Amino acid sequence: MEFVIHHLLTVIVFTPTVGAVILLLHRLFGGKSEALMRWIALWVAVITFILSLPLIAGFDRLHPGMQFVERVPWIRSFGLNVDYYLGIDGLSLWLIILTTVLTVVSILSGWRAIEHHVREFLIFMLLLETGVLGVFVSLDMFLFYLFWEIMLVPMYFLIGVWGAERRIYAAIKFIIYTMAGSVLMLVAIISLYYLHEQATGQPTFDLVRITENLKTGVLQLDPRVEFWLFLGFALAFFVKVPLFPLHTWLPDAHVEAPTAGSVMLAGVLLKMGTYGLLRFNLPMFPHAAAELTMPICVLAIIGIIYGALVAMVQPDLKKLVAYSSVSHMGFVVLGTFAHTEQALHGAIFQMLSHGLATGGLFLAVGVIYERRHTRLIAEFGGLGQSMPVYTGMVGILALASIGLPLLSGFVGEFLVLVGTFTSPIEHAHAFTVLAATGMILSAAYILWMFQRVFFGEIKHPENAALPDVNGREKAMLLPAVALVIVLGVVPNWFMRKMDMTVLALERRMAGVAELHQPRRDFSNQRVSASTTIVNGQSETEEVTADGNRRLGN
Amino acid sequence: MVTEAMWTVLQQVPNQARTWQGFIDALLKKGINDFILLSFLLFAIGVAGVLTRRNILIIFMSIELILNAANLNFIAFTRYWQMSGRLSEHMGHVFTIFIIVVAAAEAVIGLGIVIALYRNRQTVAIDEIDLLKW
Amino acid sequence: MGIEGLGINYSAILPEIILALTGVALMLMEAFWPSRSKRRAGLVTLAGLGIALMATLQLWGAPRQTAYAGMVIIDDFRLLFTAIVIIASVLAVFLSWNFLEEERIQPTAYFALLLFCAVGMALLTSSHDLIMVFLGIETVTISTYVLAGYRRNDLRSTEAALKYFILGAFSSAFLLYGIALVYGATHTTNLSAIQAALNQPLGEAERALMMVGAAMLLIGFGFKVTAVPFHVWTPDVYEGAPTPVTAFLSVGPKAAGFAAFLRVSSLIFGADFDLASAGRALQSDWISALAVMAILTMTFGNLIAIAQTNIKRMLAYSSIAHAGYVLMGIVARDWQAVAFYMIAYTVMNIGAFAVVALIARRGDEHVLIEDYSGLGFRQPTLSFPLTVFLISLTGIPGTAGFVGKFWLFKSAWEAGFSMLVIIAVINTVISAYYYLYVVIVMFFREAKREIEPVPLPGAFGFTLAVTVLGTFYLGLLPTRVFYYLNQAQTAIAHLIH
Repeated sequence: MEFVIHHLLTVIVFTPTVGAVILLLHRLFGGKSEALMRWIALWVAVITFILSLPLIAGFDRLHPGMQFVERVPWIRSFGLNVDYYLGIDGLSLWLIILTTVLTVVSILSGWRAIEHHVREFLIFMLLLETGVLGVFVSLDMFLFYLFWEIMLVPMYFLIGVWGAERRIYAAIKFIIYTMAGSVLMLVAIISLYYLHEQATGQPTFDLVRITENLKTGVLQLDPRVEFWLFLGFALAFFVKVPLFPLHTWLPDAHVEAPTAGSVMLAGVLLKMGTYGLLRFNLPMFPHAAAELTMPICVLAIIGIIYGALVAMVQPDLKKLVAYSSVSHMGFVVLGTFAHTEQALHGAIFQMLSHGLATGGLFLAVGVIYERRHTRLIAEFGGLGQSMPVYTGMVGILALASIGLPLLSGFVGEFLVLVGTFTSPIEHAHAFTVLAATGMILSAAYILWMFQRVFFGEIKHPENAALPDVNGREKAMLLPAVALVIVLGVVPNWFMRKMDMTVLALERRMAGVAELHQPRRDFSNQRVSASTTIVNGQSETEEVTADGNRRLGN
Repeated sequence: MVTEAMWTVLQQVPNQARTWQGFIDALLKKGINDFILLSFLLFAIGVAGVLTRRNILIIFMSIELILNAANLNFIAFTRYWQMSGRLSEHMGHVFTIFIIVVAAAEAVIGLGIVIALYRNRQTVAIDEIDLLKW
Repeated sequence: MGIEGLGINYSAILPEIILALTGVALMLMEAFWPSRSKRRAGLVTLAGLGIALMATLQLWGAPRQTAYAGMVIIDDFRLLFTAIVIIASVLAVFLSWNFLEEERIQPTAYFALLLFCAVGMALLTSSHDLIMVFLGIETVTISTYVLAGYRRNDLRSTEAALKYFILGAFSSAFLLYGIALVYGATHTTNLSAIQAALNQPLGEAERALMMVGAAMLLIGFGFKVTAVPFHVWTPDVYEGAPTPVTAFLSVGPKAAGFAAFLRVSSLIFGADFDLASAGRALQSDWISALAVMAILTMTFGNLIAIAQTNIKRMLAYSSIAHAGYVLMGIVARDWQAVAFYMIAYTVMNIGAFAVVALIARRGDEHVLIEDYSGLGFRQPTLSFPLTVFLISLTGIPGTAGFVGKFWLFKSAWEAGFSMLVIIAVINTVISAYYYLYVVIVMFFREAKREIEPVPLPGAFGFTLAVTVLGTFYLGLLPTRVFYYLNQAQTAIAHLIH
């Protein structure tokens, strides 16, 4: 117990691995019961989720640095200083919870759909969870890269073995795209390590220390070097997000993957990209970030509108949800590069919201796919009559995805829009208007889909007899449905935990943005904002008002 | 013309030293460049032989030619330096013996392989041995 | 020069002596007590290799010294690479176990040749003189010519042996001619003496000789370590030779070749020469030629590997590509990175070839990638280890291949070859395509035709277990190996600078 308390993050990250090992041992001892394997995997995932809950309770929201830190020397030789260094802050806290929740529901979603090689499926799901959690908690760049790449392997198998017809194409496309992005990140990591060693004499992959040294000017980068390093990291993350021209792997991977894979992909894997942007690119290379803000925002806007327009014409439900991901993740990128506090809050919040809503929608598609073995919208219609409970749950998820007030999507997208509107970047107003158009389009395609699938007469007789969601399916849809409501109703409770992290990021960027926009003066607001938060009175409304004042200047 | 040049060299050799040793020493007195050139010619002929001939046995011979070009270099250099007074130079001669031994071993193995191949394919033409490609 | 001046020192070449004696003993044993038992020959071979390994390890940490008039050197570099090649030979013995039985091959001569090859490899790692390098290379290649053609009624095997022989002898001749020219330019073939000679200005003629000689050395070594454009023999030989021999060829002689190449490169061309010296002028040419070679090697190897349908040929091209990565380490003059990479490569490549050898079965029948379809879930004891090795060869973190690559990339980056690193990482992505294609075929496709499961003999099971564990051990906990390499660093520091 003592060990668990002091090494909470390690325990959370590796509990799924232990589960995978148990499943392997189960095989070695000749176990054949698939039901038992499923229950083992489910319990392991549930235990991981339960273990991740103390993080919320124990998280000190006024603490500006990393928490639950664990640090052990790992590889120490030849100036290769790699630590096993874990820790979380306001940015990663909720992503961890999101991951543990979605793994549970993903395993539930595969309960019936996965019929062959059940053990291997469960093993890969659990290993995937370890990889994703590892990415969110690593504070050592070497360790981060390790988890970042390791996670590709189980995902590759999940798509390739349990996917639909074009699974091989999708799997190889997925892995080549992601690897192409991430090897350049490896080069950037090596060069950053080298530069840091040159400047300070300390060889280290320690993310926190390098960020700190970059901030205080101990390590100063040549603008050109900073530009290339930024691109090196950003490319890896943009592929993952995915940002507009790099998104083409996503529809294939989503459509071909099994439901569980799609949920993990949409729910958490895409967030790794935006997480990386917030963890590496903004705090480390703010000058390059400021310089590149304009093209990135333009691409994000294109992604928002393009994703929405393409989603509108999709005949396939899963493809529709996949393209809606492109659109919604565009909001996250926009929020990340708007360089205001609200936009950052909104971006992180939108990550959670999108993970739950889109993950939930993929689960929902999986439910009817299991019944009808088709995902074409035209094959459905009038499901509202045969499956009322299901319709209600999907309705909530769809509305959350659109951004209806009191549901999670609203908070994230609204904050991004407000943040962008008050942003110091050029053409901020135009961006806001265009992004808002994307919101309207998303309402259009989601509601249209909803109407065609659930309302109207039952056109296909087989739809009339479809059984409504059973207990397992309720259990798997309910967490997503409940959480999008909770997130929408009490967003502050979630956002309070991120305040310090967001503030630090915003300050870092503001210090730079001044260089580019000399007319605007943020220094006063920054100080006042920080004081309010230290006093523990940070409220979203206040921050918004603060932003409006800024606009007035 | 070549014989004429050799004759003029021989004229300069004192009578008591009219042996091969004496002949070569006399040549070396004129400088080492001719030897380097000769060995390079041998080398070039060898390389050309390996690259253009299709009979495996001729290719072997060409390879031996390259080895002997190297031998010639070693011997010539060492003797040249010995003649210019550096009597401790002897490594080249030693190495030549090594190389001859190695070349003999290599020839044995090579011929063994050719015989094995000939049993299987009834040919020693290199361009007919084309089972493995790409 | 008296007998002392020759510097006779049996302990310096103790591993070689043990290996050679074991080989001779094997052949004598066969002459006096003939037996077709592969167990007896195999056990003697393993014992000889084991004792040689112990002899190598007990020299560890010994002060750097030369013997036999500077022809042989003992330092940690040599001991490390000797240990690598001996371990590669041990693994090759395990791999050959089944092959000998299936092909009904006289085991004694086979193992004796393996041992003589090990002698050559050990000599190569210990050579401190260009002539020793030549002799070592010849000992290795003459043994391996025979090994490659060991299935002598098989057309592919004899053809491979012939191609290997012609190109091998040709490249050795090039190397030798280069050595002769270097000898002409510097009056010596001793590596340290050459370095000293290059550290002062040379005459016009000597410089020309040195230039041409160095180029020929580069070509000769390029052949031996399968660098593009001197790689043409590799795919044919790797495809045609019996799979256990291919496995051995791709790691043992290659590691030894790299050891010699590395020592020659860092002693002759890697030294910090004085400004006005001849070495200084040659150095930049040499390094840039090597860098270009590295780029060509990895890029061609990876691109052509994509098109392969035969897994042995694919692994041959992959081995060419890996030679390109290792050349980066030579360019960066970081021998520890090269050593670690060779350890990692030995482990994962032997493992991969073990699976290939098992699936190929008697007469190397099933060597097409298509033959692997549906293998994944039918025989997880083979498919999962192979997946691990392929992932490691790709360089996914957590495996030996990643740590090795990471270190090479880091060294090259710090040495200022940033373009080389960027090309290398792009190559990593290309390689992912064909390595993971095998995974696709194994797991994502159904079997085209029924192939009855392959039994897993004990020797193979052992090899697979060792190599899988080794792959993860080197990938996750490399600290201990790093520690030993780091110890060696101090011993060899003046070699590099």
